[in-house]
Amino acid sequence: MYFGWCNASQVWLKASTIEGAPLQLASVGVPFILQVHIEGGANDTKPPEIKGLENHVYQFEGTTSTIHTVRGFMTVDRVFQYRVRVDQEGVFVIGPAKVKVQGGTEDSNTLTLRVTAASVQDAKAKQQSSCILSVSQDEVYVGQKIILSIKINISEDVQLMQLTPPELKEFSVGPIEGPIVSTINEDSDTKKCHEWRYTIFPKKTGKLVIPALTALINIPKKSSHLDFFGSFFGGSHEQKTLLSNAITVHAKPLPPYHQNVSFVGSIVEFSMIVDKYKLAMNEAVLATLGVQGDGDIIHLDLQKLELPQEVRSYPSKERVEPSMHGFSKKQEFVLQAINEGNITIPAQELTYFDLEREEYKTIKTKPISLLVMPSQQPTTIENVAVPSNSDEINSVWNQGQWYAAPEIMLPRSWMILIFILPILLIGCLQGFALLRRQRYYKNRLALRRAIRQLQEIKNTQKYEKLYELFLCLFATCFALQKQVIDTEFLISKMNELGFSAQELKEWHQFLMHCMQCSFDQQEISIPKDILLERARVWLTALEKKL
Amino acid sequence: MKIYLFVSICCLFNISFTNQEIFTQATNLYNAHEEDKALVLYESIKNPGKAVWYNRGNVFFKLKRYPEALASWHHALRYATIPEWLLIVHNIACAQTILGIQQPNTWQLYMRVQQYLSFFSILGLQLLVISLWYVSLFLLIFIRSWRRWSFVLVIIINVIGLAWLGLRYQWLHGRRAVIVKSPATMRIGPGFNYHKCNEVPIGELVDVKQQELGWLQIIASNGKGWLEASHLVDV
Repeated sequence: MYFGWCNASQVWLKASTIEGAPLQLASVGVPFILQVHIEGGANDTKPPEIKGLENHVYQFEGTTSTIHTVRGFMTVDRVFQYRVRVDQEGVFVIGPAKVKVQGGTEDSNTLTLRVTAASVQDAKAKQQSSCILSVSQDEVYVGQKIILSIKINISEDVQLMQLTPPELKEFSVGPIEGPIVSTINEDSDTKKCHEWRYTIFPKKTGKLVIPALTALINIPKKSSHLDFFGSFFGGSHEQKTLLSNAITVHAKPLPPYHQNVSFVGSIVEFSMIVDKYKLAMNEAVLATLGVQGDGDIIHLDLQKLELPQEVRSYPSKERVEPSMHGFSKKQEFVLQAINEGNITIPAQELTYFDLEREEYKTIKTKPISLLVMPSQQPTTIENVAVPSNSDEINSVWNQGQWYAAPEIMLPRSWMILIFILPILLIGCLQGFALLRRQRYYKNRLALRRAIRQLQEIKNTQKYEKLYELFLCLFATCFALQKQVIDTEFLISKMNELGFSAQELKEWHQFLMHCMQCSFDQQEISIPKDILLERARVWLTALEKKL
Repeated sequence: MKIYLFVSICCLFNISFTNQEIFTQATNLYNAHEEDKALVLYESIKNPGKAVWYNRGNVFFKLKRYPEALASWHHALRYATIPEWLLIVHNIACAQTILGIQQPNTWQLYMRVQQYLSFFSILGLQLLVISLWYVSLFLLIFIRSWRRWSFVLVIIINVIGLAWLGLRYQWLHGRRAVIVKSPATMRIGPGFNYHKCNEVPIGELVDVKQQELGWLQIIASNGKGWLEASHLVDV
């Protein structure tokens, strides 16, 4: 059969919603699917170059191939899929997609995309979707607090599997609350509402987009109780992706001001305290600068202090705690006075934009006076004097170990081995004892003992012990007393072991000879070395059967 | 100057003075109050032993380089016997008083324990623990009339022996360092982009847990954190 590649190929671009419907109108921040279909390409077709796509946020989602064979000619249809998001309003052209197919370059059609503001689609999305994004205010000053709420309303039997966190690159993120789970009644249907609340602060001015996010849910199939195999292989649930709306926040710039502004919001307290007012020179004093208010307190920089030259400061711990008016932040400093006398720590200033009055305010702490006494005990290394009495430290050693002696010790692996060795030994002995109790090994040991005894009989020529040898062997193997075993028992057991009638007859004859040797002390009809040879043959036969 | 010349010439012509001779010369220089020269000689000794570390500590002390003195003495302490231990600990206490360092009580207890543990060499201790283990096993196997508490007692004795050995191993092979540069501000991760957490006083002995790109994770008296390796000297 001949296979060849069909040369005619066709490329086209297609845009659809996440759900798969054809895209009529795109929304700002809401992702959609862009597919490049290549018909009649090869299996190794490289990803296309799509003109205009670089201006938007996109992610390659994968590729699918379908192979067709028509009259010996093979063609491959490939689809490259991208998830695209446009973060601004307007009309955009995407395409053409350029694909290199079999040495040549094919161009696709172009797509003209009309993207409208998120707010236009918002109401529609809220009605349709059960994943809703909302903000407390959509027109704010830069740095002003916004509460972003993510709500997912699902039926009680539906499971929320995964939620992508919101993309908040243009915002500073504060505390996150949630998930807060509540129950709501909607059209006589009870639904679970999962809610997350993000406190965010715009970092820059302009139109800032909070893109749509996706949630993965597990919906139980209604007919699943009938389908045993389906439920067994996890087919009792259906997975669905929910897409939320996107939000555009308009961040206004702050009114012009001549000073640097470090905070937007409201401040109710700004103070500085020290743990002592009277201290020795070079002694450390702990100063705490505290601020309390509503706004981006967490990211407020309090690490710089206005201090006189006589005081050195070292920033120490930083604590942020929720308070009645929002949050409070405490920054600790270790201060060290390097000169004695009265030192004043000047008032510290903080300029911020008050949102309630929409004006700038400067808030100050109270100045602090410190009384620095002459140093009693030097603490800095530079000022330390060598103790006057030079004998305070012990003198040098004139002799001693001036080389690092090699340390003699057992390696750790040896130590472990030595520790484990007796336990291993005891374990082996126990295992061996356990093995001895097993039936098979018991039989083997009994047979070995019998062979040894046979050799002894041969050496000592005490042929009367021959019968007893077999009695002992059978008694051990069948766990019986020697006294209860007789000739009939021995023959019946040999029968059970699968010996033939002829063999049984010979066995009976052999036993008779043994018994004659043992009990009658009379001469037997066959020579004794032949009897011994037969005994050895029977033991060999029994070794195979037992 | 002469001493630098002496050391340079020795190196240049590969004149091999034994370490013992250099040690004796350095000690004589120290006794003649020529600490700078003594330090050069002590530092030229290869593979220094505890006596060299101890004397180096004394030289650093005289040169007012207290953190380095502490580092050297702590080094000497690692293999010190009980009488040597007492001498070294006294010197350490002197330097710590000058620097205003107070090691926590738990640390002092640990040092006291280590002092008594140093009674045995590591090999002696290993043999003792092994003998204890074998005797215990022998008793457990062959003396059948023992009661349950006897087993518990034997296990406790062995655990104490192993703990003793473990502490000794940790003392001899555990990585420790002394803070020699101030301000030594610890951070919560290995890098300047991590938050600051605590400040460690200069001269404090700390345990080193791990190293990552020029940063060391340390356990100091006031907490755990990461510090730039240049702030520390291994002991």
